[in-house]
Amino acid sequence: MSGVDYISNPNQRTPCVLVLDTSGSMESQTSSGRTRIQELNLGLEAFHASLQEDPAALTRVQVGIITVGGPSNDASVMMDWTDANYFEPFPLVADGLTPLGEGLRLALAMVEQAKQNLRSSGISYTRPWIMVITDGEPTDDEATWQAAIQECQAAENGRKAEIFMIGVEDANLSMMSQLAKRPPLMLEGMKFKELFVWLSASLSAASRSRPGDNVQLANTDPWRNVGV
Amino acid sequence: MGPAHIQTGTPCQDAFATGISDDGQWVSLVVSDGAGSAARAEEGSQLVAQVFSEKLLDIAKLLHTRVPGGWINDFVIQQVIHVRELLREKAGKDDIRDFHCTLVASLVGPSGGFLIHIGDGSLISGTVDEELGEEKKLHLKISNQSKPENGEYANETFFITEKDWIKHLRITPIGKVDWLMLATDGGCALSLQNESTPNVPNIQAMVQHLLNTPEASRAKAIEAWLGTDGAKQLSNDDKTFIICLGAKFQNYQGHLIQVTNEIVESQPGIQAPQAIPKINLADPVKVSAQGLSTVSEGAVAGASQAGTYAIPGKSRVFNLKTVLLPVLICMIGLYLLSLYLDDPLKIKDLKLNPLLSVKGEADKAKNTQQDSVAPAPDKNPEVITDAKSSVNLTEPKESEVNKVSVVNDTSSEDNGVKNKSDIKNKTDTKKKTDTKNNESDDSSSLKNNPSKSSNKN
Repeated sequence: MSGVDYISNPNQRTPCVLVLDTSGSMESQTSSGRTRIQELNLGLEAFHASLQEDPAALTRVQVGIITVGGPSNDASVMMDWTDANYFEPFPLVADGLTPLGEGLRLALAMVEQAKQNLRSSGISYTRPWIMVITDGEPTDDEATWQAAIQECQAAENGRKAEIFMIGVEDANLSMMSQLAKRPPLMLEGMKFKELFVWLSASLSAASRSRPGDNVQLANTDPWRNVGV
Repeated sequence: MGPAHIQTGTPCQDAFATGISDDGQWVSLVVSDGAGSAARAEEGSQLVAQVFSEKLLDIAKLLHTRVPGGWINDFVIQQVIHVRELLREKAGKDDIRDFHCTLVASLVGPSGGFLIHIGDGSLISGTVDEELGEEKKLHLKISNQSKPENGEYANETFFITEKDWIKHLRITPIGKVDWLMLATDGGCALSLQNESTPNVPNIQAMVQHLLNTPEASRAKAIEAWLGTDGAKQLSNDDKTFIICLGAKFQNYQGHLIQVTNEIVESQPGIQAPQAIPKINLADPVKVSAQGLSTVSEGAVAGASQAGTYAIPGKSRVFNLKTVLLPVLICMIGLYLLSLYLDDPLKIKDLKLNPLLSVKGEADKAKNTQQDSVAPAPDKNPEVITDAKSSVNLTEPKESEVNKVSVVNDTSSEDNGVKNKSDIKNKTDTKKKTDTKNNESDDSSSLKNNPSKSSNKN
């Protein structure tokens, strides 16, 4: 995969994989006149722009995208690991169901793969992030969902990844809270842009953190719905 | 001081200290990197640096009368325990996590030394040879390294102030070296690539630059180098460097510097100090203490710190050749003398090396070449035996394996506090006690709380 270059950029990496709900419900119209998926796509563009403006993040953040649902109606890797300076956003298309459990398992596998590649290239890394955005609830069968819960909890206990869950509109937060200790957060309206600007700043802070530092995440006020 | 710390207004949390033994033969070098999240990290790193720079010299004193062995490892461990106790007194309590800092130290003398390491930061040491060809070159060989230890994640490391520090204590004996470099984590960004392999071009450039600078301005030169934009880009942490150049570098006259990496792979953990040749107790070494430059202290709080120090000792250092050659000459002299004095020992009758054959015995000696019992002295200067008595003149080898058994710290010194406050961080011993590298495992960091999430327990 040519999305990463460890030779000309041997900086340490902060990998982040986005698990994005592209199910049919994301086609719903919003008050702005755009659909939810269109708002999400604008958010991804804001993510890209924000990274471009941050020289430290540009050389250290690494992004992957998994879509859950969509025209293929499955969980698949839409974009394999890509260094931030090579990352170009592209519009996602919504359709189908929400195999979120499968998407999470795929995300954990991607994280392990990233670590292996980084280790074999001699590149150090900070703990990878998994950012989940969903507007509904998982449609996996019980077995898959339970397996996803097991794996996510194991990953969190084993400190293998940082899992963030963001609920949008009709998201079933209580189901999401089964996955990890960190409680899921609700997005205020369609503030994807603000969410992704926050994500970029937070990844940047994490990528610049040195041993013993307190990583100060950016303020979540701009995008978070505190009423939930 | 790193740009990040200037921005947040925190004091420089790196510290360094150096010491030299009374007889000028041994040098102790220490740097210590305080953890960004620890409230009193700078006090911790300063105490660690100061105590170790003094106490390591005690090992040097003891080596006058004691053969190197496992006791050295024990001594180092005792000093770590001592420093931890001092920090407890400072804290007024058992929990010393407010002082979290690393330990990057070295004791080096005329015949070798030790690298002592807990956490990140780096030690690199090696030899230097003068190459005289068309261009004069000083050929630096990197022979030993103590790498930073970060655990799985780049922004985690281990501290001397943690409960299971002993699992991360690494003591590496080194042979005779002509130069050393110590760096804290920030300094590593410049001297290491990929955060573990020495960055040969950078080291080359740095040594070249240093040698081109008059001695008095060398500390400033390092400071300036650590403060460049390029350096800041590589790391926004505090950076501290100690570069120690041996007496051999005094002959430098505009040589080109060439650095090669021939690292002796060292195993992790605590190693028995076998590498240091035994100092001959019968002949106390008298090495002059010339070539010492005073430690130029970098500017105090508010600037990157650096120091240069010359390893004591002249170029012709104590080694096998300087001891054995005169002894060898005496032996040959005595032998020849006894032959001259009518050979009371009947040496002629012995079948010895033809090179030492005596009058009229030339042909006989040639025939005895095949069944010569003694190896030629020039081929094997270490062992000279005559058939009568084996006089073994080699240095007795230190063959015992001194393994320090690592006792798991099962005392409950920190358990109480740890259980209370670190409910989320279970028994994971790899990470440092305060996981501050990422947002903490509770959700408080995501709440609308702009103030620093303090986890002081």
